Amino acid sequence: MTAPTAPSPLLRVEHLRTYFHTRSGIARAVDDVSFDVYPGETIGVVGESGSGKSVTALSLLRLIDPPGRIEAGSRIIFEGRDLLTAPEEDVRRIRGNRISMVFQEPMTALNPVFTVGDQVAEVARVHDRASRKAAWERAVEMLSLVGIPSPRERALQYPHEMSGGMRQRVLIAMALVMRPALLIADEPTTALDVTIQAQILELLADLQQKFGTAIVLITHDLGVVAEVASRALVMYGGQVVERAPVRELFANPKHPYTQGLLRAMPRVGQGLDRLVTIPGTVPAPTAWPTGCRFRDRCPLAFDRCATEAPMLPDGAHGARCHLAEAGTPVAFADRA
Amino acid sequence: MMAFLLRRILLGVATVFAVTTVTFVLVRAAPGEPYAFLLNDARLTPEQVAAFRARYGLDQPLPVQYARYIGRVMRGDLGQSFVERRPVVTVLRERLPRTLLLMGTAIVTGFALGVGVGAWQASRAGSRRERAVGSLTVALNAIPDFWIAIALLLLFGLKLHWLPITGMVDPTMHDFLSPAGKAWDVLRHLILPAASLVLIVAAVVARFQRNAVLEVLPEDFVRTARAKGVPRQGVVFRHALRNALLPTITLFGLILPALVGGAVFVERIYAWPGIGTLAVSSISNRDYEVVLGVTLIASTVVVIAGIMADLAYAAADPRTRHG
Amino acid sequence: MADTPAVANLAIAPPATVVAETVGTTRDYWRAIWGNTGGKVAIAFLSLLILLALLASVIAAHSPSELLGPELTSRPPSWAYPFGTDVLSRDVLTRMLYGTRISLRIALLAATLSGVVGLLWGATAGYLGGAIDALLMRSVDMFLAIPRVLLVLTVVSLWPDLSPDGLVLVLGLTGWFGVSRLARAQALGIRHREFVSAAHALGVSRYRVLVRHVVPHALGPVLVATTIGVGHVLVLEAGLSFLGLGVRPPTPTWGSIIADGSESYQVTWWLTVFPGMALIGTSLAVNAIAHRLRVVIHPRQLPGR
Repeated sequence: MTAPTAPSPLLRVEHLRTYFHTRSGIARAVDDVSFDVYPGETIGVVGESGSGKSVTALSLLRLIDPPGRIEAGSRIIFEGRDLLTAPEEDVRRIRGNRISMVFQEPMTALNPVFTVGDQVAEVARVHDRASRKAAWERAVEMLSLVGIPSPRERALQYPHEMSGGMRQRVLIAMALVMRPALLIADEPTTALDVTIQAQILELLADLQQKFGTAIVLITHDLGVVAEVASRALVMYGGQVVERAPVRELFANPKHPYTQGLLRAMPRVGQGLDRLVTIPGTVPAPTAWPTGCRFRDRCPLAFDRCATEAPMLPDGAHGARCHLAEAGTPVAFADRA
Repeated sequence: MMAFLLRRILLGVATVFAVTTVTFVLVRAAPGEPYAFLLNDARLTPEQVAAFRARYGLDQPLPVQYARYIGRVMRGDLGQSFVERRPVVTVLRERLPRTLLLMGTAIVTGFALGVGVGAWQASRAGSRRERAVGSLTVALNAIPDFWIAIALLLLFGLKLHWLPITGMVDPTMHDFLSPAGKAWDVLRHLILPAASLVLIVAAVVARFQRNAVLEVLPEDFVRTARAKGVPRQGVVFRHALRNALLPTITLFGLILPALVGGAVFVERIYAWPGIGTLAVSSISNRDYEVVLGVTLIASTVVVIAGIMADLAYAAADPRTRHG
Repeated sequence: MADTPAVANLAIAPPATVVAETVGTTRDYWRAIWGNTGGKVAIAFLSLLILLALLASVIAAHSPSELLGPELTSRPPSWAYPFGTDVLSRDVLTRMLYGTRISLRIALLAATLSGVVGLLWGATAGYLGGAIDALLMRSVDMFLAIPRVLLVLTVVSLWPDLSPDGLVLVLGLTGWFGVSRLARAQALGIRHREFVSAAHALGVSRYRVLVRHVVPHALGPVLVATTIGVGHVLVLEAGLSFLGLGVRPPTPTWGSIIADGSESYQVTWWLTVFPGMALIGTSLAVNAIAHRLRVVIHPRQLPGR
């Protein structure tokens, strides 16, 4: 099926809307998000907490629980199939197999009452119906592959006996047992020390080379994106506000929000909370502002921003901003 | 871990000691002097009465009596059954295993059933069938234990004649049965009284387990399991339940004292020859050394079981196991 | 922490670490009960029972120990005798009505007694803290290890022929251990709050602080526990009377009516069924109310075991 010249996307997300129907109103956590992921590439999804990036990730695997709901009209085409219309059993077979996920908190993402070897082996048992012994061997092999020393002994340990970095490696091993086509990594390094962060990112890049896995890397850290991703999506208010190749994004950010993020970033791959210099906070997802959702915090906002919602244009580099249609607005000038 | 165990055992010993004291105080506080009903017998001569009082130390001052009482209980002397004309300890030794058989069966089956039902409920929380089962457990919780026992006896014993309703063995046939036949005979007699207790235990455990599993389901590691492609049953029954079982172990220690009470009624109704039946008949017979013995032994069993539950908790949780 | 179920036949001690987050007002509690259908049904049922109990002597066609004659022994329910007659030819409906009086009276009084003793004991322990707290609560731990039924049986065996009020005393004084744990947890929670420190600073006596601040703060959870306790005592008294060790015959209680039929379950099923239904219904109603009350105090488990 794959055309030799222009590769077709591995994953195509179209008009994804995930709403939470709560008592205090409908929270539009993800509101019309579209993007493609091509085989073997790494795409970075950047945004503050509350921007909808984690909900997007969970939606891709249909792991949204009530009161959350993926609304009709959304499409998630993976390897030619719409995951949103597929039976639950088929989606289950894809989870951990063709699409894997690595979560943010290695402290809590592992089950405290099973050994790590057991938890890695379970993937092979579930998807390959591997025997207990064969699955265990594969688990040990995976643990060694993600750089865990003396994996045979480590496999018998419980999560609480490991450091955060080791646990994150276990989660990665677990995600890669089946050599998935796509790996979704939701803030895989946030909870870790800076040095460990770098190691984990390196490991991910390594394994991507080895297995040809495409990675959707979700992070609030533009530095991480700069390091590993080739393309980036910037999310704000449940929407993609800018989409660009990473170099383009850093050289020529078109959306005022992206500019704010970049300006707030003192240096690549360092520092903790560099979003503080954008004034204000993300509004509640139950009450997005009319028009442009960023207008309350945007220094360049004008009349049209309140009445008309900007669209995200097609193409390699686009921003959801009225001003970006004409040229590149300058909202947050770089400190000289 | 060791320190915890040691503290637990010390508390257990103190508890048994306290129970002994409580029983002593109750006996002394009771109207009339101990054994009054025996000593008031008009046929006794004053010399006989005096001899009796001297033999049981009733002529000594209270502190001395207390020390002696504690001393003989510690030595395992719980006094004499006036009805059976045997030491209370001998009687209890004969009766206790039967009660343990009944309660053990009920606890194991009841917990297994309750855990299964509770986990199932959690996996279907809110569905119509789940709510129906939930109402059933609520209703079962409200039915007095002795009434459940009578209802089962009426239905399966008297109406349908499926199972025997009195005793532990068939009085005429038992001695002539093969070993397997004997076991089967006891099992048949065990089913209805055990089932009465099972229903009660299972209903409590199910309600508890349902909520415990529901509390674990939003945890991150449950989401990880789902993201791995583990089927729903595996997510609920392996990943969530295994964690939610830990608090259920503590429930064991909480249920047990109450279950002893239930066993008294159930034994009485099914004439199960355990310590419950013994306690009730001893009260009617004013054989109160036996009643005290039953209370003491039952409390001891409860204390030991509580310690075992705590140990089981520590052993089941890998986070404390290696601590 | 999953909630500890309110159980009629298993008097489970609540975990010591459950703490109520809010202290409700009387109106909150009333709203919680009356605000839903289940609560309304429960209140209506209990009100009807109390009314029937109060008016027993007016409604009942006979006297509770009146023998209607040999030809009227063990009669199944009929128009003349809606709940049948017992083996001694007494009218079961009449005995049920009078039995309601005794059964409810014992249950309410004994549970209240447990509530008061447990409240004072626990509040004192939690408020004073230190060695006194340790002493008071360790003794509670010990009492909790004695199965309540056996404790009651022991007392009943030593004090035969207890009056109904004596029974209230026995049942009440064996039911407060769990309550005291709840009260203590509440007292611990407010011991260091500003208004308590302020009262101390102003020179208010410890006793006054205990009565004016600590005890009221612990009322909510104690109220819930006491409500659950009503169900426990109701069932326990019925059980004792069923064993012939509770209220002395010929005074009827629900349990003793069941006992009257215990020689002939199959024939005189009405002696088992009607009092049984009354017990289950009351138990359900009391549990439903306790469940609604719980919602008001938002019980929450403290971290750690």
